Amino acid sequence: MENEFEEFVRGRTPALLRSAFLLTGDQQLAEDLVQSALARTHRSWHRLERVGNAEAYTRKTMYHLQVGWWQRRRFVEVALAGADRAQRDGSELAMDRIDLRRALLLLAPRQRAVIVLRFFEDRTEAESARLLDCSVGTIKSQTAKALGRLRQIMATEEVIPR
Amino acid sequence: MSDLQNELAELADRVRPADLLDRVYGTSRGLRRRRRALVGASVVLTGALVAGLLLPGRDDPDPAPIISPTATAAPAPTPTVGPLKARFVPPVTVRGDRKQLKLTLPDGTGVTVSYSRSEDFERAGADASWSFSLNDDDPCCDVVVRSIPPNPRYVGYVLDGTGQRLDAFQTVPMDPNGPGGVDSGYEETEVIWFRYGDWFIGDRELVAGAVGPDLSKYYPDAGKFRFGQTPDGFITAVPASGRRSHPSAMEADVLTGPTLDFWRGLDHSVQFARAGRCTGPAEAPIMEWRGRQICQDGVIVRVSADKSEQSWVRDFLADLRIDKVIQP
Repeated sequence: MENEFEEFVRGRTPALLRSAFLLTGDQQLAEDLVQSALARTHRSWHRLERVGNAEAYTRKTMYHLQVGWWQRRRFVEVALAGADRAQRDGSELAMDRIDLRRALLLLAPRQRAVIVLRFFEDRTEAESARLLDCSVGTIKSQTAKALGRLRQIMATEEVIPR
Repeated sequence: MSDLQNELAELADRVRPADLLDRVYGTSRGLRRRRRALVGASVVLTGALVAGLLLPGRDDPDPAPIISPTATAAPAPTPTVGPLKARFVPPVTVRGDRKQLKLTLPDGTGVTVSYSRSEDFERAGADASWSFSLNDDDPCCDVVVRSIPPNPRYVGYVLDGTGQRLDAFQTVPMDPNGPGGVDSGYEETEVIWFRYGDWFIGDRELVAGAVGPDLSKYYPDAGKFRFGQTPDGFITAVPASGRRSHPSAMEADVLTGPTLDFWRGLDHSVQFARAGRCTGPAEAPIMEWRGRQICQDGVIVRVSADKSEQSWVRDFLADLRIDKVIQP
C-alpha cells in the first residue's frame, strides 16, 4: 500500500503544487496546502486506491482546505507580504505576473478557487461544481464576479477575458 | 481567455519543486492522533448519555476500562462493555495556589510540572489521549488511547517483547460523515487495537487473511516493546532487547517519538516529549494551528490552539514550571 501511495505522492505533487501556488500565492503556503491534502488522502488511501479516485479526492480536499484556511485568515498577511516583497524586486515582466498573483490573493477564496479550476486546470463548470460542492449556477456567478473583480484590481483588461 | 490561461500557467511555473513525502506522513500521523481524540470524546459522551452516567468529576479515581474481553484463548463474539469512563485524568497535587502534576512519558521519563491552580488542562475536557512512536525507522503505536470506536470485536492476541499477552480487538470503519468531515482525517478501513492494561494501542490496518488466536506474526510491532503501566495509570513502552528508543523529533510540523498528548477537541493540545536537544522558546505551528513551545532539562512542552486562544497559549507557558525531570 505504501509503495503505491508514495508513487502517487511523487507523481502528483508537482501538478498539485502548481495549483496550490495559484491558490496561496506563496511557495511555503503552497507546500503546506499540498502536504495537508495529501496527508488526508493517506488516511483514506485504502478506499481511494480501490475506487481509483485518489487524485480527485486530493484536489477536492485541497480546495476545501484552502477555502477554510483563508477564511480563518491565517495566510492572508503572509501571502500578501510575500507578494509585496516580490513586487519591489521584480522586473517589468515579473510585475505583470505579480500583479496577477496579488490580484488573485485579493479575491474571495472561493472566487480564487473558481478561477484556478476554470482557467488554469481547464475544468468544466460541472467538474468545478463537484470539486467545490456547489451548484453549476454558483460556479457561473462566482466566475463572473471573480473576473470582474480581477479587472477592477488590476486596472487593465489586457489579460482578463470579457 | 487564452491570455488569462497563459498568465496563470506562467505564474504557476514560479513554484519550486518539493519532496513532500516525509511531511505528508508526519501530518497524517498528526491527523490520526487528533481524530482519535475526537472519537474518544464522542464515545465517552455518547456512552455516558446512553448509560445515564455523569462524566467523571474532579475527584474521580483512575477510570475503569471501557472493555473487558470475555475470553482470551479464543475469539469472543460479544465483548463485555464496562463502565463508560474512558478518559484518563492523571492525579494532581494542590499546594497553595499551584498544582503539581507528575507525568510519565511513554519511554519512562518522569516529568513533574507545576502551574496555576486555576488551570485545568490536565483534565482536557473529555478527550485526553496518549500517543507515541518508537522512531522514524521503526514506527509503532502512533495512537495509544483509552477509548476506541464502538462495537469492537475480540479477534485474538499478540505477544510483546517479553511474552506478555495483549488482547486484540477489531473495530469497524468510521462514518465518513462523522465528526470533522473531510478535515478530520477520518478513515474508512477496519483496524486492529492491542490492549495493554487500560490502554488500547493501535490502530493498525487489518491484515488480510490473519488467523488467530495468536496474531503476533501478522502484527509484529508489539513484539518490539516491553509494555507497562505505572501505579498512576500511565502506559510505558520501552524497546525490547537490542533496540533503542530515540528522542522526539520534529517531522514536518508534528512531534514524533515518545510523546504524551492532552487534546481538547481538534484545535487545542498540550504535548510533553523528551527532546534530543533543547533550544529556546519558539513558535510551534502544528498543521494549521498556532502554538509555542518551551524546552528545559531535555523535555519539550508544546502547546497549540486555534487563533482565538493564543493568549491562553502564552499565559499557560509563561506560568508553567518544569520542576523535575527523571531520565528513564
